[in-house]
Amino acid sequence: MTQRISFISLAISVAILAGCRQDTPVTSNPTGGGSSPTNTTSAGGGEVAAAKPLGTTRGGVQAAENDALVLYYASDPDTLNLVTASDNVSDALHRTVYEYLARRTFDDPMKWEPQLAESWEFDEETLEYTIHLRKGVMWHPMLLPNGTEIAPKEFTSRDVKFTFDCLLNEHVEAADKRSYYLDPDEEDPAKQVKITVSVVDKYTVKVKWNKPYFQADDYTLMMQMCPRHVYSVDENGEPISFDFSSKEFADGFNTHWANSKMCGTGPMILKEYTKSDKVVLERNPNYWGQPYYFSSIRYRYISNNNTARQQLLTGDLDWGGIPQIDLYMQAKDHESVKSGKVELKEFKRTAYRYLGYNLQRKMFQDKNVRMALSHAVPVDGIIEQIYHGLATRMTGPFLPGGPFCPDDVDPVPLDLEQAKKLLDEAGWKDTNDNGIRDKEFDGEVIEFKFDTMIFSDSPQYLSITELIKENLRQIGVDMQISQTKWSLFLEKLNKKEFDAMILGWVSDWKSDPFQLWHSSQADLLDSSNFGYKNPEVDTLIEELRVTMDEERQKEIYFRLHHLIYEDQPYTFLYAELATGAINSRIENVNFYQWFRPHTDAREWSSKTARVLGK
Amino acid sequence: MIPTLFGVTVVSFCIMQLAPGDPLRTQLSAKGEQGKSSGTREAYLIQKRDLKLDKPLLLNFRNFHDYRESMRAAAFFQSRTKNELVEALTKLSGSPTDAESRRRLRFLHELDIDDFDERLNDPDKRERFAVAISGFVQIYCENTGEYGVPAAIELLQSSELDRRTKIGLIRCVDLMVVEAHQFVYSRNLSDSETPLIIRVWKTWWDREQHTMSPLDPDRQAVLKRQLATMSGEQSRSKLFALIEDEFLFDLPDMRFFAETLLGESTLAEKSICTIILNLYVSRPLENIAKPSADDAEVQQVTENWLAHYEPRQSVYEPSFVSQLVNVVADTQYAYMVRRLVTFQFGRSALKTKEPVSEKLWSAFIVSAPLMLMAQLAIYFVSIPLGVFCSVARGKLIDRIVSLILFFLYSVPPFVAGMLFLLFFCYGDYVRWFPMERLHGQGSDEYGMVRYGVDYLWHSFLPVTCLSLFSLAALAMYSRSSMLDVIDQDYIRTARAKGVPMGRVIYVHGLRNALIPILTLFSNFLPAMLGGSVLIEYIFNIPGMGRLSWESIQQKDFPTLMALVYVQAIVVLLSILLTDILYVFVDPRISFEGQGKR
Repeated sequence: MTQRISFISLAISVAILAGCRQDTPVTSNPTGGGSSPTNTTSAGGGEVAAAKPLGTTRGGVQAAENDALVLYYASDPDTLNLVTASDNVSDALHRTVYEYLARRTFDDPMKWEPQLAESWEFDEETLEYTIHLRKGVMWHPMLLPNGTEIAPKEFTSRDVKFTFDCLLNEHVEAADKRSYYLDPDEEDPAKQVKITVSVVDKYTVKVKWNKPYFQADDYTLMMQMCPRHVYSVDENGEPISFDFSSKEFADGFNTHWANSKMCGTGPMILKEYTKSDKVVLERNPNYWGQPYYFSSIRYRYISNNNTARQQLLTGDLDWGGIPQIDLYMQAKDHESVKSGKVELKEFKRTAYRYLGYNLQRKMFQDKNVRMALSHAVPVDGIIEQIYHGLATRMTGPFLPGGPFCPDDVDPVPLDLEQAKKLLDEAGWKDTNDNGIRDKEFDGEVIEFKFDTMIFSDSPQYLSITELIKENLRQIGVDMQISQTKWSLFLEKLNKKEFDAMILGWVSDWKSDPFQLWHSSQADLLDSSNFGYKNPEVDTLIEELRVTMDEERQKEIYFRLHHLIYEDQPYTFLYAELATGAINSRIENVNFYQWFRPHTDAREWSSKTARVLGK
Repeated sequence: MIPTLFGVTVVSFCIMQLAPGDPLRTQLSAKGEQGKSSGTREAYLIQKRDLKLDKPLLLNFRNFHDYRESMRAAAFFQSRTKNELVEALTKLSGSPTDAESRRRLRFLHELDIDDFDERLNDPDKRERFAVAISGFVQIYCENTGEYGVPAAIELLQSSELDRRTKIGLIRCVDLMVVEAHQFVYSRNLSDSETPLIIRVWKTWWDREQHTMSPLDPDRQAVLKRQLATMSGEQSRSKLFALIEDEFLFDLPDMRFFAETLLGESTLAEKSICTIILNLYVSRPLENIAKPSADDAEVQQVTENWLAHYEPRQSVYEPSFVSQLVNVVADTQYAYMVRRLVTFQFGRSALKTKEPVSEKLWSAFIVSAPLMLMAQLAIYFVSIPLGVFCSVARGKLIDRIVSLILFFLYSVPPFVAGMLFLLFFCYGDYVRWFPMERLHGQGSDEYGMVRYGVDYLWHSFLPVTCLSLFSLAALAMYSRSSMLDVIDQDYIRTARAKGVPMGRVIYVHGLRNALIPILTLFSNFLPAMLGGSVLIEYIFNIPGMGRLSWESIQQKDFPTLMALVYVQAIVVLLSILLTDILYVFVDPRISFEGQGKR
């Protein structure tokens, strides 16, 4: 029966991370197809076809004639439509088929790798990007539902304009992505859209921002492009509407016939997608850049996590995550792991967990009290005992090792004496000798008792909370644990009906601190700011959001990190490593923390080919 | 059967209503898009309108409701800043007596806000309440929809409101209307749209006319020729190419197109004119006024809204008869029943927007053969087994078999599934069977026979899991039922007159013993349709059970409703079928008016 319990909790621990995603912009995700900028010239569209040599991959290896990479996915994507999709599976698929104008490189997010844009200029005066597109890039071939082929098309500036038009059409179901381009402060709808996209000529586009925005680079360039000649026509190949901002167009676009197809410019072509069964991608013979090593990528649908783990461990699958730490430790004893057929991997990613306090509660309003609590939380012990050392400590809201986390902040040490001292100073004393500290607020004596809400289906959270509870008891604080189902958890979170809770955030390499830390969000219903207000932080966040200079941004992030560390609105816990298993035939596997999926399959190659078929 | 079906719709509708929280809202937060971003709301609204959740539940009296008072209050709350709202709320909490305040208080009560009095009267909470109020008003406006528009337009035209409140009212109208202006013709050209579109462009043209210089006759002739070419073009894609690539226009050319559109011209020409105008004129009509707008701007936006309202007046102010019809027809329940009765289950609420019927069908063809096999296995094994045990009553073999059956009966199918996977599939012990789905990789290329064998091999464990539990139950039933029959006099008589033992058991006995078992047969079809949630999940089979499970998880309400409804129908049908089968098994029951009892 242990098997069953673990798989339920596993399923849910995946959900909770999804549940905690905060800023997930349209384009944050890597492993697009691509080439290094050095190899950019020419690469003709349709004219050179079969005879073209396979080429060398980014890893510097000759691409394989016939070798399939086999991966899995656990749930069907809502849709494969580039603009309206918002789930992880479609993200992963889009990365191989669609390309960005340009993307930040995996190893250094401060650097850019041009893809569909050959170059671009940014005018700081007018806040205008002039983007020069790559010439001769052809869209993948595509059939209409009635079987006729759509005439091959070249990627042009019109497609760029179309992509933004779709995104900004208020009736298109892409509200979460659209919100990055809307200005909440502006009541006037004409000015509410922060960007204007205009076509200059076939290969040049201008994107103008009304206001400086610190993530403007990402939201202008790290955009995957949607083919206009496919998504603007109906199942008979006729235009849906002449007005891309109309409701008529949006209705046609939301229910588009190609919502379960993909037509990109990238290194892989979608060959087959059978719902709840498989996704087959094949190498694009006319790709302009460096190809994948693999001639095809096959995603198998496996909804049962146990089965997926078994297939990973037997080598039937080439690569996949084993998110549950206990199962990961167990897998170390598996015979294929011992024999070296399968390798286990641990890598960093952009998620962390914290113990958050509801700052509207009187007992948590003093920052020294929160610091005292942080002194009592045995984070290192948790990492050792529960995560087997596979986690790094957090010091503040930005991930350690990243470009925005200062090095000079030490984590709050475990120091019960210091914690007691701080509580004494803050006026929390045990006046009635019941072992629990108390304090008088406006004539009313409050005992230091609170509830910590945790997610009920995770045994890990329970063991963590019990460790904390024990330590808090020693400093005279009584913490109760209330295990809560996810939906109720969210509801209480949104209404701020909790004292404290343990949760995690998944962010991008660069996150907008506005939602979590700006005081304007503190009193809102449904906000993720649990009552944190600090005028200095507010000013910094406001400055950050209109700062385009990346060096200045860094300074602001450092300062924010310091300030929030001093305030301890959360007890920042740890960022756990992600864990997975890879078939050892795969070579040249590197891990990168800052972009999902944290590894770049374009670099991979294999020792022995996997030939699928009979 | 019809009343039962009606009952089913009512019950499932009630369950959906009783479910805590707004289903769409839960869906949004379950996906983790927390935080008050405008984006979240928008997506929520699109879906809400799609599923008609903005309508009243059962009866719709909105046509007979006077919205003027509410609109006035809503406009007030929409137009004030946070501090002003706090002030206004403070005033309201002191139970004021003037008409204006009472109206506002009444309106706030109408919004149905949780803990309203507490939030209003507690000075600590008032500030947060003020922030929340505009959200509540927004939801109110969105739910009111077109019903509130006539009152709002009337107020806008009157001089009762001051400028700021009017600006607030304009925001309310914008929230109530889905699409304010139609600038181009829809795909299927229709003259019925002409008044709407002409009115929009006329409003714009009256305003902009003086800014445009007259065209010289040469250019006019060129444009005329080009327009003729375009209107002669039948294919929309070619027309699109012509407009975008072939002909280049300048802003001054718009005079020609506006005049053609507003003057005498054919429908095709009109349509082309609107397309070109819309391409070259950005934002012809605004539908929101800035908070800082002056009187002239407010007046302009008001006119824009009149351009929306007046051509649609007949829709906004329906005849008395259609108002009466709307009382029952324009409700959530009516829309649901309409979808069900016509079997138009609509499209899934997920972003794929697949037709629900396709989803059901593709899942059905996966689980139906599987369940059929399982059911056949159950009946073909359990009944003979039960008979065998009853004949061998009390003997050792009967006891052993009964023990095993009890054991099987107490193992839930999903536990059996997990155990099978562990022992037979994962390779920790043996690896005899595949661990998932119904076909091997590359099975598309197999021949008929090999495909069939592959299918049987893959479906062996799922079918076994599905049958074990019911098999044990049914065998026990048939054993006891047979035991009842065996002691009857007619069996003894049959045996006494020398009928062979086999014939006595299988003809005289079994047929009578089958009746109670047959009652269980009504589960047969529903089971085939329902699939098995857990087994399909464990073995990764995309059947009906998993579809139900996924639809629940993903809050795909249209699919879920269709599933419940179709299953209800099938249950009813199979009960009917069972009743008919009695006739064939039991000669005492017949179709005649009175049974020959």
